[in-house]
Amino acid sequence: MTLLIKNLGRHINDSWIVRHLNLEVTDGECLALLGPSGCGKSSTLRLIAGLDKPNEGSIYLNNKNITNTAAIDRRIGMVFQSYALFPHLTVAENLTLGMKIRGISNLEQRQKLRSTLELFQIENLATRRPSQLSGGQKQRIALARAILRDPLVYLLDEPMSNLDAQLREQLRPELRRIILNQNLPVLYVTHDQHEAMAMSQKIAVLKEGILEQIGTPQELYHEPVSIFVATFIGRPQINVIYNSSKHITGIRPENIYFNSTGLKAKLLHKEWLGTNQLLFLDTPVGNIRITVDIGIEIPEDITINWDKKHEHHFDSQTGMRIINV
Amino acid sequence: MSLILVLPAIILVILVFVFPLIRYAWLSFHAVSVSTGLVMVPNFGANWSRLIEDQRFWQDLMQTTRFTAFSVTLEIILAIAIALLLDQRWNGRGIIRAITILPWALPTTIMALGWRWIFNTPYGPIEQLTQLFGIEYLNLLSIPKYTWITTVIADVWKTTPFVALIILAGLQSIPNDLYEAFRLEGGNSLQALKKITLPLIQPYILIALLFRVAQAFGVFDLIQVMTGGGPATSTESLALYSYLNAMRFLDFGYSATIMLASFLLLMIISITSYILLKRLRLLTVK
Repeated sequence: MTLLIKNLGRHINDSWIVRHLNLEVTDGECLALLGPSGCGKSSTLRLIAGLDKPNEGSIYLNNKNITNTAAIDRRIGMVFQSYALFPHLTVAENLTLGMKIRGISNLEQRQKLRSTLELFQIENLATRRPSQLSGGQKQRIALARAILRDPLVYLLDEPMSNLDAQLREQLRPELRRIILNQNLPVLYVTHDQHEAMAMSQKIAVLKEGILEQIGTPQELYHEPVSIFVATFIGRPQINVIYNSSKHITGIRPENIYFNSTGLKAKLLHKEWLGTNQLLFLDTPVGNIRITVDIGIEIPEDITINWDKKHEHHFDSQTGMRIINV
Repeated sequence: MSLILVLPAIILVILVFVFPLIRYAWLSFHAVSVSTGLVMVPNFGANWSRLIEDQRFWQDLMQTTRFTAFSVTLEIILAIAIALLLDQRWNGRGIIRAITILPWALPTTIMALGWRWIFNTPYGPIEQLTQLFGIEYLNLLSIPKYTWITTVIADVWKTTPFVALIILAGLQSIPNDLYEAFRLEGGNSLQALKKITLPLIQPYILIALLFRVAQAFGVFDLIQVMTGGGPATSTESLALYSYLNAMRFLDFGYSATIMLASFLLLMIISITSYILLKRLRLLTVK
């Protein structure tokens, strides 16, 4: 059930929200759509779900063109950022409403409801209303509802952005176990690069409605096509050194080390990150961030250096990667 | 200290609400009329026993209830439809929304005059139409059996916008996500109306209902201007009967008794229905 998107585009008035978008998500693959807010990632999901109509391009699901198929008939398992649970219905009613509408027999409804509640270990919540649930519980119900839709593709719109960091980490394995193991294409929208790397095999970085780069997390990290991708992927953020009016060098904090020769630097500030420490240095080329081991004593006069092979070079006008410097 | 801060509010409530009520109650146990020289003479419940035997009081109570039931029911049904329409996105919605509220913003006396003119025989537009088709005059304002319907029509015309506004507020409190989620579940718009919209605006409908019942039960100005309670007393409301007793028959004791009786009736209806609705958890969604 491959999801294929060809030259997808949508505009409101004169501004394009999404344009020239080409994506392919195969069975069992999770593709993260990553980008800052307003980059068109949620709009892309809405186009695939059929909630909005594209102005150009087409969407294929399982070799079938669904561009003009009504949302009702698309069999989309979508999880909304707000969860969109029906506040006047209990958890059980929320989960069975769709099946009722689709004319599934009462017996089958009950069986499916029971097995899904078991899957998420939320049997005790069946009679509660959404207002009586915690954020994590609501999130599970929203996922359960998407599963019960019996979908051909999963669209997850910032499914964890309303949860605190600790809960997010707890829910990730659960999400992987339940959704990502179903051998269906999954599209995962997030603005959190950490989450994108944790959940998906491939990441598509969007900028202003245009696909900037698509690849594995490793590819995006090691060979970012633009300064935008380079600063978006990897934490602490990559150092950007403006060499001339035309040329930018990027060097990641973890690739910089103390050395007897190199760039002279003065320590401005340090952050303790647990496994390492992040130093903010003042250097002749501007402020530089570097990470060093916890145990290391920071000397008075620091000289830092890095290997040429770790440098990333970008055109300062276009922001795009320069292969041969 | 805290008492000092709420004191102005308490004084105000006592002045404009508690005092008149007590005064009404006090009056209702006295004869105060032309025959007593407008002096208060205790008559030990004679007003109340008169009330119970007063055919006109019971007739007016029935008429007021009929007016309330019909106009409020019609208003709610129409208001739901109008609110649903105004909640949709279409060009010129802002202007239409503003126009919709106009009838409600109009002073009742003015709009009642307007309606009296519309139903006027032989010069009103309705009778003009009947003439055009060669039908006899309908005499809408002088048929004891049916004239009350004209007052219901005028009231519905005036108050539907108010109810629609409350229901529109309810509609706008429903996040769009819910409709989209429902669509992805395979539901069409008619099912969405039944399963999502109506259950979620139900508390707003009931609040509007409570408001409107209380208001309609005390109807006075509309009827006073449109029909004066006539023909005969066929459209007379309790408030109008009480007014007539005070201002025309100069029987203040009995007027107070009627007013107090209808106030108590309304209180009983409102409070019991409120408690009932609350018990059934119909006033909240969550």
